[in-house]
Amino acid sequence: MWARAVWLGLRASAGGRRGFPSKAAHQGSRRVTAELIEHLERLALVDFGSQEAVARLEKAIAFADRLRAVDTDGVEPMESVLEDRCLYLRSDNVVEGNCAEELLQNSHRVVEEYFVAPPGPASCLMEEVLGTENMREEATSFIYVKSHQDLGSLLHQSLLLNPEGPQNHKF
Amino acid sequence: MATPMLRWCCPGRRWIFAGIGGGSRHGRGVPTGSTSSGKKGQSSVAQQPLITAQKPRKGEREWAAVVGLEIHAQIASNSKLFSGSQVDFAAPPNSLVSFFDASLPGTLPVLNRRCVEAAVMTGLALDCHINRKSLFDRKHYFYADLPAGYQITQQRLPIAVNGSLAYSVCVGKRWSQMVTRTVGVKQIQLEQDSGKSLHDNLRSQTLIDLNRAGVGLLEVVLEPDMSCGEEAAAAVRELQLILQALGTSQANMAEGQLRVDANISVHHPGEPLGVRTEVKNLNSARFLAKAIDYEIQRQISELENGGKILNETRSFDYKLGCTVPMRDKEGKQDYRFMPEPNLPPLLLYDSGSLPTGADPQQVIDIDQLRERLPELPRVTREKLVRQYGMLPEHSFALLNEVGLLEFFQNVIKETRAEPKKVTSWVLNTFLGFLKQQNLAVSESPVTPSALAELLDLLDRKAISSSAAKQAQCVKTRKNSILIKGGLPPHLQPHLTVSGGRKVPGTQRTLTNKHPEG
Repeated sequence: MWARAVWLGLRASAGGRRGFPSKAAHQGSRRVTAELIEHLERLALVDFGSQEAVARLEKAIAFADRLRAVDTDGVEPMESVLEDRCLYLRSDNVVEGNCAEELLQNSHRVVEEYFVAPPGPASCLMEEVLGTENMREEATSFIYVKSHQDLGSLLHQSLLLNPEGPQNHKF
Repeated sequence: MATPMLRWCCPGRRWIFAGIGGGSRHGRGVPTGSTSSGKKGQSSVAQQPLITAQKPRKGEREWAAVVGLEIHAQIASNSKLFSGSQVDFAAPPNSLVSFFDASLPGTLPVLNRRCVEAAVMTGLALDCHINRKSLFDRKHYFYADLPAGYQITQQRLPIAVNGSLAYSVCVGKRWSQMVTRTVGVKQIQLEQDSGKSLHDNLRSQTLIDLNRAGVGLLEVVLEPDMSCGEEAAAAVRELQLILQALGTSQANMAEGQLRVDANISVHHPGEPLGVRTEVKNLNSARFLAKAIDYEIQRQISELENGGKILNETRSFDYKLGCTVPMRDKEGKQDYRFMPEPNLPPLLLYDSGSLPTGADPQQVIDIDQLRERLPELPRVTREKLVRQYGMLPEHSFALLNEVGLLEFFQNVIKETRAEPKKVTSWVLNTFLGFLKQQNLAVSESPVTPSALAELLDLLDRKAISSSAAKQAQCVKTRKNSILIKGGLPPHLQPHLTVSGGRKVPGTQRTLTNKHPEG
């Protein structure tokens, strides 16, 4: 949870969940550092191209921060809106598959019946970690693909918290 | 002694780094020669001083190593964990992939009942507490063979926790000195496997095969209760046998059905634990102990030389026989765990809590599964020892080879010879013969009946043991045993070839180096 990563620095001021944390105490630790931005960009493959974007992120975090005003002591966190539903168990029969042709049509590049991994750092990385597929998780720290997502608006929309409605800012 | 020697005493869980020149001579490599000789040379460690007539140098103290394991076992099921595509090792690329496995938008996970049963059975076999409610989470990271960008696992509340695994290691020189150790099982969780990435060197590109993507895995996390490679290998071996006995996984390391990652650190006894490194890519039973021991030695050497251990991930290079760092400049990976929003909690029941009128297909009864658990290797071995009076290490040897136990039991059924004799024959002569010919038990030209017959003859002292050994070793086509040499006349007509066919009229003689009346 990326929000949690940002709030690491807020631990000192946010010891308990009671009451509204004072604005003064919050202000300093709310700053989003350059390393954090880099970290988030690598993890989530988003592009914080400018200072405006960072400022917008900080505002979004501050807005969501108001959730902490709610006293949740002794309340079990809800993990899923499906918590009262039954988890359906499927019998162990083979009913799908055998559609390689169809699936491969989705891929930009195909070699025989294999998907070709998208070009970029991921592929270059594979050259260096030759034959050891278990290194995948470590390799992700080097994947740095720029995508042009309007993160701020997405955040606003999903949080449904922005009283001004979704903004159409370009980063 | 002129050469510096690395010795350690596994049973005492102490690692002694002792050398004439101190640590500096060892540099980066590990004198693998000393590894094996060191172990074999130790009989009863407590009494024997490690280096005779040499006082430990100033500053040299004992080291203790701590090894924890994360084992991934592929569940033996027909279809995958969350989709209905087939689980198979060898199939045309991307032919066993459903829309969900390819992570096409709009697809949802549907849990496979068999995988849940496999997890519960494994948990019961390892004496775990089965969580009546367990949850699924998403573990996010980007990689070409993970089309969804996340793996569905059980990080917060796994299906089974707090168990234990008993295994045996041999201390001392002889196989006969075995002790039982226990390692705690921290948790067992269900998770998805990823696809396979193959690197095409020629065209410098990565090819992805998603046949394996979505296959159910059991992740068994073992507590850091082990102290050397041998213990770790023994624990993994026992787990392998348990999984195979339960039928929950074929646990074949060569086919990638069982994968092991090790967490290793060293420290001085009495002091806090050291920084640990994770060693991945341990996919061979043979190299498991070696890799772990290498890493322990590397850490000891590093610390003895005044260096520091980084909390990093390393990989074992089979060709070089050493661990190499995997580039990890960013420190710990942040997987951004979040609850899997498409799956409600997994609820399990027992006979006391079964909801009335529930569809049996939709409900999993832990007590029912417990009743249906197959016999565990530990129990089988105990039975063998009790029933046939064999030594514990013999029971281990019988279970260690695929098909050998069944062969042994079939011979016992048909022969009049004493069980001890049968045991000795099967484990020494027969198994030795197979190994020499590089055959599996299933490929043996000697059938249980034939061996039983042979042992009967031996029992009646009709033939000598050396003759019998020779008879067994001579094989012909069609599984028949051709027995050469002198045979007392009154036995000739009674001699049959394996398979029960008598070959009339053929002079059969037995070579008899020690003529018997």
